[in-house]
Amino acid sequence: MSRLPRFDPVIHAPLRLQACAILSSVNEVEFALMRETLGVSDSVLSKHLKQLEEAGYIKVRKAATGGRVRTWLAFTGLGRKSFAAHVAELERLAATVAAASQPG
Amino acid sequence: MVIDQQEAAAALASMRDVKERMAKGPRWGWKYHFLFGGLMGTLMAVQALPIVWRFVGLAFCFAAVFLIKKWGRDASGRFINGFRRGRTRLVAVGLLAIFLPLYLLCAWLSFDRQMPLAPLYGGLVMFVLGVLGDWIWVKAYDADLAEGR
Repeated sequence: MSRLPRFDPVIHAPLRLQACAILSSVNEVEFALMRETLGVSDSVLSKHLKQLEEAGYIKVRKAATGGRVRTWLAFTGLGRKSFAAHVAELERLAATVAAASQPG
Repeated sequence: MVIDQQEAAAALASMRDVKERMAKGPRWGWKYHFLFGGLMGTLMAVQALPIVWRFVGLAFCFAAVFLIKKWGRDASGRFINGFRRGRTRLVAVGLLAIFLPLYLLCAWLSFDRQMPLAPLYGGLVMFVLGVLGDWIWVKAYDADLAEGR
């Protein structure tokens, strides 16, 4: 009997899932690069990042460079672990489809 | 929270898609590869200097590591650990596996065998390997992203 999949509702929203995918591929990413990659506005991204931050999944750092303040984002240990668990569940569920669609 | 199988597959596809887009984002470019190679070469070559200047050279290299990292981070909008999982780790470990023995060989040739120019030649070799290694590392990173890793 297979166990029920456990998904993290904070991570699973499409935009937050993509933001987490970006964070998983780097140690730190600038807010502007994430916004351009996702193709969303400042306010929309900020709202989603706030939810990840409140869950303790990301940390936000501000740093002045060349006279302007840039915002840097990174996973916390908890965030990286939760995202990995969420992706593992997605892969497990998707794999059951692949296995079921195999002939024989 | 209930998710069906198709939704799971679509979520995984959207993650792969965004990572591919990240692979097309702003980059460090050849300037960074040359700076990295220069740093590796200088680390090797400073052994040819008299003892006091050697320490000055090493201090310069450590300061340069910090500055190059900061410059790369600001230019590309991202910071990535060189030893991150995936193909990139193989490249980084491979480069280190070449650098350390070559460093020790140059030290041995310079001090034991009285060949004071050996570290300079080693530095030149390491410069070329550093530039190529950093270029290969970025290719490996792109390949990892393209595969959603």
